[in-house]
Amino acid sequence: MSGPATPLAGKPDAARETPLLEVRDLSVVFDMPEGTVEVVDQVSLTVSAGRTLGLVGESGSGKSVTCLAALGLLAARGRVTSGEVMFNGRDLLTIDEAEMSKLRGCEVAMVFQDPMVSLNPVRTIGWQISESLFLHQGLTRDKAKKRTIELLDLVGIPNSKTRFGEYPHQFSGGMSQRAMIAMAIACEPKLLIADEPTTALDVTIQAQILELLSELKKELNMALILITHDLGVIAEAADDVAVMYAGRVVEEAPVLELFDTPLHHYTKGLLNSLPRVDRKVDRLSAIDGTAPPPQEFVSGCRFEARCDHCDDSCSGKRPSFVDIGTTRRVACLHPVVVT
Amino acid sequence: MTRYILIKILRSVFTLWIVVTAVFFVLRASGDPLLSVFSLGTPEATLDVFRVKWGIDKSMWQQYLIYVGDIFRGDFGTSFFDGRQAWDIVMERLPKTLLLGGTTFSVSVVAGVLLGALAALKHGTLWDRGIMTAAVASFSMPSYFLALLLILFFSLHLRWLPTAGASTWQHLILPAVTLGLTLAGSIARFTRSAMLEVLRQSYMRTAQAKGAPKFRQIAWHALPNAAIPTVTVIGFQLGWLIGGSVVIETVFSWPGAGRLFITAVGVRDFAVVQLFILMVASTVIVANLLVDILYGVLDPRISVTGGSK
Repeated sequence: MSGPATPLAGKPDAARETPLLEVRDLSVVFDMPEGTVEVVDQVSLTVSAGRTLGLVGESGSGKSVTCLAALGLLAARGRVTSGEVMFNGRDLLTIDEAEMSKLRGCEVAMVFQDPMVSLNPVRTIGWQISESLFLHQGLTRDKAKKRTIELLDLVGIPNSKTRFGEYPHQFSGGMSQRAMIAMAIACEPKLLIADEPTTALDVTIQAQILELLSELKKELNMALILITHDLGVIAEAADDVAVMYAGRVVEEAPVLELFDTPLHHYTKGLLNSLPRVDRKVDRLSAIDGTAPPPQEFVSGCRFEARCDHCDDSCSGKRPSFVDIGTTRRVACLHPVVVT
Repeated sequence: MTRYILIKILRSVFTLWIVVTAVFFVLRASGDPLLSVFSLGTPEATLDVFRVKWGIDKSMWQQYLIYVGDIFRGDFGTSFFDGRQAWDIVMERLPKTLLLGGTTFSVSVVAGVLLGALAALKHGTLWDRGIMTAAVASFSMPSYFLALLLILFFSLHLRWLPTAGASTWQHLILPAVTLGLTLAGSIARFTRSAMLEVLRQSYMRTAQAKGAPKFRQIAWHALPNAAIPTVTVIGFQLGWLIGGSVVIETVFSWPGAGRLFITAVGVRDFAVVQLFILMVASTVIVANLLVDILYGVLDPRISVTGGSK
């Protein structure tokens, strides 16, 4: 198991060695009325220009919080307790809010889950997209409008000139998400984080949006982080995958290798629960039990309670990562044996 | 749009008619104005002369029709006391009331909105608690009581400000502060809750993720949304402001229309009372109409025309 088995989206291998974003050992806690709860536990991720990292996990596994923390967008009760977020050689956790504002929407941008509530209801779509151009490129009203209409065309919104002056409530879910994407890519960011960009949308619209994101990624040579709980989305759009479970990354691999030979029992369980066209199964299996809430996170392996392959060594301490080849790693003491 | 406004105006006219009618009959049911002008024992013949002169010798319905007819001709009747047109008398006092009301209203709206927004932004901190305590205290306290407290402290104790009259700008301060504290208090409270609601919304995070600086997030993204519920409240407060100014003008001997009204009610000066109430009702109706229109301007989801688009 070594060497990249996946095509690198036309990019040279070297691109992978100098990651654009490198999250190292990021931990995030929430200050709740009943005490401090750690929701993200020493998460490390990397993503390079021109590649898509799929961040997959159940709701509450810490995928969104990791990304929000990296961009300093946590709600007031959230706090980063340790780690580094290296972006283009700078640690985003150490720079102040004013500097961060200059970066957000310009070099790093984010698309959120529910486009209908993520757009300001009292501002026109055109105004909201132009705002990025105004903020980061200082474009005049006329130039910003012209560029915004180009962006609307680029993300496939028909009648862009009319749509420019319309309000979010006049947009459908799919069109709103296209507008959100137009807003995010307005300043051609180096990194785009899409947090469940298709979850609130119809399946046909989902495919279109994923297609659009992939195209834009190629066109602008962006790094893309795609947060999702949907392995179908991962299979379709990601180059590399990081699987999160209960606040930790448990496995990382290029997408084909992950689907082919999952190493963590959680990943394997997830894949077995999916219908596949390439394998014939009589019955889809489910993983017994449910993921623990953050209050019940343990220090040992958090999947132990649901795992068939655990032994006494699993509970004591956190399983450390084992590198498999150069592109894969897994945090499990008894990984799935590759046959 | 025109149709919508036309319906609104027709409804307003109807409301005004009800107010005018109610005031007309209630006033006449309250007693004979002759009794408040002439001493007991005035010869019946003299009283009759005045009854004819003031037009109260006719039946109630005749008087009513004449009164309504006159309104359409722009004639609001004559004061029983100085024989001048009620219109002239009220207009003479109106500038002072507008000065007091206008100052109070504009300062309270600005102060209330700013303090309310500040409390929301500093949610849960000492700022928030301080502002809200002051707000609740100021609008829970009856305004005449607050007026007396302020007079006691600033006029009698510190001797900074005059207690009564309207000759200098210093005279404006105490009545305006009394009225304004109550108004600003309730506006601050409503702005705060509207802001808290807005700050929780996902689009605020979008604005932050877009790189909008903090001030811009508040001023350009949050406030326009928070303004929608706040404007309604402010519109309703305008009616309250007029009522409050009647009391406050009396407490501070402010020579405005409110104080004129109190005097006129006391002596049953029908024409003046009727005109004053007609004006108050018109103001409130116009304010509500403006709120309705403003609503459509502030919130694109609400279509003023009544159709979907």
